[in-house]
This record gives sequence, structure tokens and C-alpha cells, in this order.
Amino acid sequence: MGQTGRLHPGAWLAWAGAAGVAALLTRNPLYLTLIGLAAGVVWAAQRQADKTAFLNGRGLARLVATVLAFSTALNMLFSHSGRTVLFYLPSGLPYIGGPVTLEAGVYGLTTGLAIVTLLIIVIVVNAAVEPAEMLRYLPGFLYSAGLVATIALTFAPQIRRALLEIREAQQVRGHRPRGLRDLPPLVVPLITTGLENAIGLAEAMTARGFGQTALQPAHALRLRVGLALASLGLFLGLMAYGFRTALAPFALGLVSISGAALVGLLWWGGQGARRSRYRQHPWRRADTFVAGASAIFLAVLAVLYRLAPAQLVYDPYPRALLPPFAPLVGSAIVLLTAPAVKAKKGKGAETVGDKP
Amino acid sequence: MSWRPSKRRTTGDGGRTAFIPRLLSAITFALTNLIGLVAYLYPFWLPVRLAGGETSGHAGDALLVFGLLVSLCLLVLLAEMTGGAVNAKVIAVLGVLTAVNTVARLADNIVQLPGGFSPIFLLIILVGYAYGARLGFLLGAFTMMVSAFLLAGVGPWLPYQMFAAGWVGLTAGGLGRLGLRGRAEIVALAVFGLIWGFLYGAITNVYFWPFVIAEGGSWEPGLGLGETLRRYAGFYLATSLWWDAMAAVGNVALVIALGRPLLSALRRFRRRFQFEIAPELVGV
Amino acid sequence: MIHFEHVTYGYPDTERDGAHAPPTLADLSLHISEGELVVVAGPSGSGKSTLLRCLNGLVPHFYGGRFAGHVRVAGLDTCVHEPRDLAATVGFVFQDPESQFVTGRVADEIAFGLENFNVPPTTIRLRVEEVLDQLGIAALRDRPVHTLSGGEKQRVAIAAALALRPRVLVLDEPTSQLDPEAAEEVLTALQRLNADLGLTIVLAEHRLERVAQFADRMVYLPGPVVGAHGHAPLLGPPRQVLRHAPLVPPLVELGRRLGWEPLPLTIKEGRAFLSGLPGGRRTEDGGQKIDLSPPLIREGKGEGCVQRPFAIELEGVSFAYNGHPALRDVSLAVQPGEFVAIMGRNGSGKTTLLKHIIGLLRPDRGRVRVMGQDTQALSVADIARQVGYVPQNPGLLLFADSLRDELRFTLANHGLSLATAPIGLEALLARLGLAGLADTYPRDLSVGQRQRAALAAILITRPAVILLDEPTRGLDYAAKAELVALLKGWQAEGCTILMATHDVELVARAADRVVLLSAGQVVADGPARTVLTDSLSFAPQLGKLFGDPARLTVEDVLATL
Repeated sequence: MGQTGRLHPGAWLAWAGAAGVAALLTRNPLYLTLIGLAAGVVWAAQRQADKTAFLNGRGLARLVATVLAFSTALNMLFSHSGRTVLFYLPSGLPYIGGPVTLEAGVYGLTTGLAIVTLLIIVIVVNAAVEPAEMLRYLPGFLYSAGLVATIALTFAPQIRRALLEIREAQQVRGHRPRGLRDLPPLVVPLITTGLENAIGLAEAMTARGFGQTALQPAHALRLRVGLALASLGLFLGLMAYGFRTALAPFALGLVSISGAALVGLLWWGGQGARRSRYRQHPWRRADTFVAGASAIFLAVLAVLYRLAPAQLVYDPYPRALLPPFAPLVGSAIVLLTAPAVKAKKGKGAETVGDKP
Repeated sequence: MSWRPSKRRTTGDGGRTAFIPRLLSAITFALTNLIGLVAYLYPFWLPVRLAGGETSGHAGDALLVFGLLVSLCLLVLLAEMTGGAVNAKVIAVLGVLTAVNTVARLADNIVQLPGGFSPIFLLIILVGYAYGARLGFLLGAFTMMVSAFLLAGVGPWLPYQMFAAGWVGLTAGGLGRLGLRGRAEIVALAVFGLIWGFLYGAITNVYFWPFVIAEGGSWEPGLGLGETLRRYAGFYLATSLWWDAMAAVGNVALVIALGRPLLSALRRFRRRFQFEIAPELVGV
Repeated sequence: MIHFEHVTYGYPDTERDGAHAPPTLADLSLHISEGELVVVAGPSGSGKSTLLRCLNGLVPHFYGGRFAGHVRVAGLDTCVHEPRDLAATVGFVFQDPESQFVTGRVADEIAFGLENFNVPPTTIRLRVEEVLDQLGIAALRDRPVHTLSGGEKQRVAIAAALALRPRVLVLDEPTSQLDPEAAEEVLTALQRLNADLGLTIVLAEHRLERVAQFADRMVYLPGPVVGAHGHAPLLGPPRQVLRHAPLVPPLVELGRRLGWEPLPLTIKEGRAFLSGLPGGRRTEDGGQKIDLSPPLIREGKGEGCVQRPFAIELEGVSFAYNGHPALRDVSLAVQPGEFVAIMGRNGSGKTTLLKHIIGLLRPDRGRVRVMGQDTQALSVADIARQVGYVPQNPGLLLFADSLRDELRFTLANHGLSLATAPIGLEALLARLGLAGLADTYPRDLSVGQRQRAALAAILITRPAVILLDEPTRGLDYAAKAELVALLKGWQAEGCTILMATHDVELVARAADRVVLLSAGQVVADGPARTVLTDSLSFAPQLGKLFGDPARLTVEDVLATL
């Protein structure tokens, strides 16, 4: 599969982040449905550009139904607040006894809807960007971690094939796997073969120069001191926030500063390992467009959340009313279809620098 | 002819690190884990009524904030654990074992296993037990991440799953330092698997709890610990108790069936290939 | 350019009973000049891999152990420099195409080494393209690695090693896991690299007939050193080394016996000596025709002759994998006590055929009968009682703590125990050359030993039919000879043997009958001698030389003199 016409993984991440945050924050079923539709549009456009994207429609429908049903039932049985009572369960029952209210049901439904929307977003991104591809864009300090994940993804199909071969090989010895007792002949060779392959891989990696030095010792010490201090700050800030309400703004400040310090320190530490990155997917105008749209969307959300949360967040308690629909939010959600627009335009365009 | 003394081993960091750096690493390690745990369990200790709005409206809010916090801690831990001693053997072994575990998670159609089992914990526990807490944690975290990629199950729940699975491996490393052998070892591992079967489900439900239920069944800031626990117990009973019970029993069964041969295979491998895990953290 | 000075090396953990096991390399000294193509030969366990790994520092840094002496490559001492520093000077390609790759895509894989050395991305792009062209795999640039064939994978591995522009390329048995065509591709590529670029190449290889003609020099490692001054390694031009090495390709063997000078390494060189032999070469017209008529399936219905029931019978078997036809109307009948070789290109259906006989696969159409019984109604375990199947990767079978436990496992599956086994444990192990190893951990055994251990695990039930799938992969000449002797011994006792293989020399020596498969169909089925002689791609060396079905092996030729 070529790289032409695809959006940068970073752009997809921005999109997914924005849509995900929205899905978590708002419980308004109207907005959620709109977000889901926007994701669907993006997926359809993606499908056009790349025919191999596959969706298990029936499986998804089943999943959606299960999640919704479960969430609704859970809430209706366990949460007994709300003014519109539907019927009563005997009070003697633990936990579930008491009035079953409409509000609880609606809350459950919206929760389920939020979860489903999140799932849809994930499916769309998964179809657009391959995980192995995403791992190449990790920052320097996560290089080794990304490498482990890449190796796992590379080896998974091989391991699967090995498992099938092992099963056949043991079958030929008369082995019939019926219960747990019959697992060792299947699992043990898988692990030992896997480990032996791992050593072979380690040799191959070493033979190609893997293992260049990281940070200088002096820098390493400074890094560790910094990390220890920053995590201490984070911890103290968190505790202060939790247990001393008077200190709340100070605590929040400490938390933010420590958090930023941690990220900065990690980033600085990652610079030490000298390693170049091949095949950087160039960041093009299309990517800026998508990222920009997502950023604007998030900004709108943030502003509304601060100033007029009732328009954004839907709360069925204490009495279930029809969810509001703010045109502003509705039009903001349209911004989420940005990848769909760009995916179409991007198809067939040249990439910069993929060929010399 | 005479032999020369053996050459230095490749651990990638050139030998034992001094005390102060290890102490600092240990502090960071302990704190980040603690922060993660605390952030995980926020419904139990967050008494401050969040600014403005109703409780239910801020459930998503809290989820986001603490989710970011947990992700940050996870990043720090991953960077610390994998970034220091860049050892090709460790990385390759971790990668391949993660692949095996991922295939296990997705391979219910190859080998018949009674439903409800979650086969991934077996390997996480055994690797943590035999190879130490650091590798156990990493195997847990990476298994969750890679199998989420392959299942398209990435979401805000992922950092929590990674952390919790990491703790399974981490604590297994602690168990490993007890130096048990023989039957006692298998029994200890089985009990360990049983406990974690329930514990994993219990803690991965906590952060999601205020989001799923509100008002009356749920967490409310300002309630006492006792009441919150009681409510959470109800939630847990309804949602994952049954599932976790199956997982717990499954863990026990898998440990009994596969524990000994796998442990012996893992230990043999370590001896045979000079599989050095350069300790980056004190006592690990 | 490469200097070994009195190198002695032993792997760690080789101390038993307080005494050191003999070192793998003992006082080895040799020099390799720039631009040479050197072939390292020797039986399994002789230290070839160790020698090669000394070149890029994996020995001693990766493995530990005890190391004495010096190895200098392009002026760099490997004890002082870590493997990662040597990687820019010495490129290494390993034996197993499956476990060399870190990333999922070809281009990323080639770039991996360059990334490790912090080469700027634009240069990386250039080098990747360059190296893809050098090896002729430019079309594979964006392919996921797991979709490639074995030969393509090895060429990618070579490309990845070459990307760093090393001065020496070291390859550890790169073709042992490949079929002959893929092996040809790889070796041709190497030869071109050496000839066109002047790249120094050090190569360990079992199949000397393919590489000996390209080599500038050969190193022969005789094996574990016995005593302080055991057999010394042989170094020198290929003909000189091959004159004295114990096991050599058939053409060279013949040349040695008949005193041909200079020793012929290729068929072309061998032709020059034919005029001196009685009988010369059979011309095309005088050659025998292969009987290509389909084998008669004798039903034995009242024709006056009593036919024994066939050991294996396939009638019109067809099978498709996910819509791709793997077997097309295959019919085959094997008498008890026959030794049949099944040959064909990769993907022609050999393994599929064998799997149908053992019942791992069921035909879409047609019938399979084993010992007279239709396999339709039988399970794999039932069939396994009569039929032993040794799969392609026998190492995957082994899981127990000792060889004894492995055998016990197979027996238990069939409801037997060590006491009631058809063959005695000790007797079987002795026959397989594994005497005294009953309590070793199977994975500690060498490749050849593991293979025989897997054989033991399957044959402990004394099946009447033995199926082998590529049993000679990665085996050296000696081990192959032992395997042949073993199989012939079993055949003499009445076993029927079916072997899917690429190894033509083995087939020439051992098989009675050859079945050629191509794209799932039987294209030839007849006596081994006729089929092998008349086929261009499946002829043994001497077959190509003489073109005579009566003279396929060294013994045949010597017998006619």
C-alpha cells in the first residue's frame, strides 16, 4: 500500500482527540449522534480512497445494541434518583430495590451512546492509520518502547502461524487437545520457539548497530534528579488538591507545572539518543487543515464548557427533559468531517520526498 | 594454552549504576506508580465538590483529567524502564513475548478454552515472577497496548488497562523475590492469579464508575469512604463480578496446568542465553 | 584485511563436572584479503557460526564465554569494539529469514541500520533506493515483510546489511532454509556483489556444489577438537581444500576417486573428463523416455494376479485453500515397502499432499486410503497409529524436559507406555545416533540431533508408513548420509516411506520412485532413475553430467568401471 494521499498520523490523532473529548464531555444524544455521523462520513470517504478498509457491520451493530442495553439496564436498576418514576421494585432487595426512574434510563442510554461513539471514532482511525505506522512517530524518549510494540506487531502473524503448526505437529503424535491438561504441548513449544527467535532477532538488531549510547552520565544524573523532583511536585499537588480545599488553586498550579516539567524533562532526555528517523510522512496543507479544524472544534467546546455548560452537557437529572440543541455546537461538529474532505482531495496527490 | 578471563558482559549500561542514581530512579518509580494508583481510585478520595454544574456533568470531566494524569505517569514509567539500558536482548524478548500474549488474547478460536478465561495474565504473572518486576510490568503494559491496536480497542480506557496489567506483572516480581520453589511456588502463583483475577476487574472499573452511573448509585463527592465503598461494591457486583470470577478461576486453572513447564522453560532460557536484565531501579 | 590470530573460544556454561568442554575454536589463525569470497565449510557443530560471529563482535560480546587471541577486521579489534560499532564495517546476514526483521516493511527494515547510525533522512532515502536496485528488489519496497517468500526475505536481509556500506559481508548459511530456486537467487546476487563491487564476502554454506566455483578460498573446519592438537582446519583454494575434506559434493567425490586434475567444480568442468571414461555420455536420442502415462490403479478384480493392498492410495484428490487450488485431481498408489520421493517447486502441493495422507487436511473431492482404509471416517490420531508424519519444522514438536518424556508422551497418546512400546527406547535412540541422550533437554541438542529426536518422538510407535516433509533442511552431508542409512534400514524392514524434498542427491541415492508435482498436478510418476535423468531442474549432478539413468550416483559410476 502506498503512502500517497494519506493524512499524517498526527492529524488523525488530533481529530480523534477532539472527537473523543467531545464524546466524553457531552451527554447530549443529539450531539453524540451527530458526532457519530461525522465519523461515519469520514469513514466512508476513507473507504473510497482505500478499498481495503473493512467493517464488520453486523458485529458492530450487535456491540452497539449490547452496550446500550447494558448501560441502560444498569442505571435503571442501581440509580434511584429522578422525578419521573416508571415503576417500583420491592425495597427489600439490596441495591436494586426502590423506584426505577426514567431519568436513570435516559442517563444510561446517553452513557452507552457516548461509549459507542468513542468506539466508532477508534474504528475509523484504526482503518486510516496502521498501528505500526503510528509507532514510528513517537518522540525520542519512547523509542525503545515503540520498538517493542513494533516487534510485537511484526511477530504476531508469525507466532500465530507457529501455533497452528505446533497444533498440527502434536496432532500427528496423537494429541487431542480437550482440556487444560492438554495445553502444555501446545503452549510450551510456542514460548520456547518464540524466545529462541527473540535471541536471533536481538543478534540481528545488534549486528545492524542497535544500541547506540543514550545520555551522558552527567546529564543522566540531572535528568533523574529532575524527574524525581517533578514527580514529587505532582504528587504533593494532587494530595493538596484532594485534601485541602483552601489550597485548591495553588495545588492545581503545582500539578500543572510538575506535569509540564515531566514532559519537558522526558523530551530533553530523549534528545540524547542520537537516532534519525526515516520516512517521515511529510506534514502537508491537508494535515494542517484537519488539525486546525479539530483545534477550532476543541476551542469552541472549551469556551462553551466554561461559559454555558448547560448548552453542551446534557443532564437528565433531576427531571428528564428534551435535550437542547445549540446550533453553534451543531455547526462545530461539522468541523469534524474535515478528514473526509481532505481524504478525497488527497487521493492521487504526490507525496513529497518519497522518491529521490 | 591458557585461557584469558572472560570479557565484560553486554548489559548495555556498562555495569552497576551507583547508589544515588538508583535511589532517584526508585523515588520517581515509586511516586509515579503511587500517583497512578491514586488517580485511578479518585472516586474514593476526591471530596471536593468540583466547580459548578451537577455531579453527573462532571463525571466526564474527571475522567478526562485523571485519564491525562494516568497517561502521563504511564509515559514516565515506560520511558524510564525502556529508555535507560538499551539492551537488544530485553527489547527483542519483550517484543516477542508481547506478540505471544497478544496472539493468546485473540486466539480463542484455535484452542478451545472455556469461556470467560483471560489467558494473558498467565504469561504476565510468570514473566514477572521469573524475570523480575520491571519486565513483568512492561509485558503487562505492552500486551494491553498491542492487543488494543489489533482489536481496534484503543480508547480512554487503554492507559488504565495498561497500568493495571502492568501492576499484575510488577507485583508478580515481588512474589518472585520470595524464593519459593516446588509445589509452594505453584500454589502461591495460583493464589496470586486468583486474587488478581478479581482485583484487576475491580480497579479497572473504578475510574469508569462515575461515568457509567450517576446519582444515587454512584459516586458523589462529599460522601464518606464507607458509603462510597458500599455503592461501588454494588456496581462491581452487577457489572464485572461474574466475569472476574471466571477470569480468576481461569488464572488458577492455567497456572496449575501450565505453570511448572512454562516456568522451567523461562528459567532455562535465561540461563542459556545470558539474558541479563540490567537493573535500572533499586531492588527490582 | 581480516586477521585471526590464535583465536580460542568456548561458549559459557560448557563446564561440566568441573572440566571445561573442548573449546569451539582452538588456536585458529587465518587471513582474508580484501575482495575475496571465502566459503567456510564443515559439519554441524564445527564452529562455522562461531567463526563468523567473531567477525562482527557478536562473539564474545553478545554471548560471553572465554575468548583468547585477536580478531582484527579492517584494523578494528573485535574485543575492544562493541558489535554496534563494528556494524558499519561488517554486515551480517543470518540463517533464519523469519527472525531477522524488526519492522513490518521492507524499506523501513533497510533503513533500520542507517537510523541507528543517525544518518540524515535524505541520505537514508538514497541508500535505500541504491541497495534495493543492487539486489533487484526495488519492486518490493513497500511490501510487508511477512508476505515475502524465503528467497526475497533473505535478499532483503542482505540489502539491510549492505545499506551501511560495510567492507565485509558475512552470511551464516543464508540458503539453508530456502528451496533451490531461492537459493540460486541469493547466491547469484552474492556472486555479483563480489564480482561487480569487490565486496569481501565470507559465507558459511553446506551446499558446496553451489558456491565452490565462486570461492576464492575455502576454510574447512573439521569439527570438535579431539585432544590438544586435533584435526587442523584446512585453508586454501577450493580445489585444494576439497581434495582433503571428508564429505564433498558428488562431482568432486567422483573426481577425487578417479584422479581427475584439476578437480572439477562445475558440470562444465566435468564434461572435459568424460572422454576418458567408457560409455561417455548418452546422447539425447539414446536416452530413455520417461513413462508419463498415469499409473494404473490395479483393482485386482479377477485378473488372475493377486495384488497386495496399497499402503497409500489417492484417487482423484482435489483440494483448494481459500479458493486457490492446491491439488488438482491427484491420483497416486504406493505399494508397501516403497520409497517414494515427492518433488516439485515450492507451492506445488507437496506438503498439502502429505497432509492429506495423515488426515490433517480433507480432500474436497476424491478419496484417500491408507492401508486399505478410507481416511474419511478416521481422525488424525487414528491415522497416526499407522502413519508417522514428520513435519517441516520438527523443532516445534519438542516441549518436554527430557527426550524420554517426549517419547513417553507420544506413546501415552496412543494408549501405550514405555514398557509396551513397539520399539525399545534405547534401541530406537541408538539407531538414530542419540544413544545416551535420553535424559537431555531436547532443546539443548544441535539441529541435526533435534531433527532425529523429533523422528524418534514420532516413530516410537513403529508406524508402517513414514511421511517426511523436507527432512534435510539445514543438515550437513554426514547427517544426511546417516538419515538415508536409517530410512533404508527401515524400508528393508517393510516400512513404506514418502518423502517430500528438494534434495536431488538424496533422492538419487535413496528413492525407488519419484513423483513430480507442479501446480497441484502430477506431471511425472515413475522409477527414480528415469524421472531424475529426464528432468532438467531435478537432476543430480552426475545425472546432468552423464545423462544416463544408470549413472546417477558415485557408486553407480564406479560400479560401471
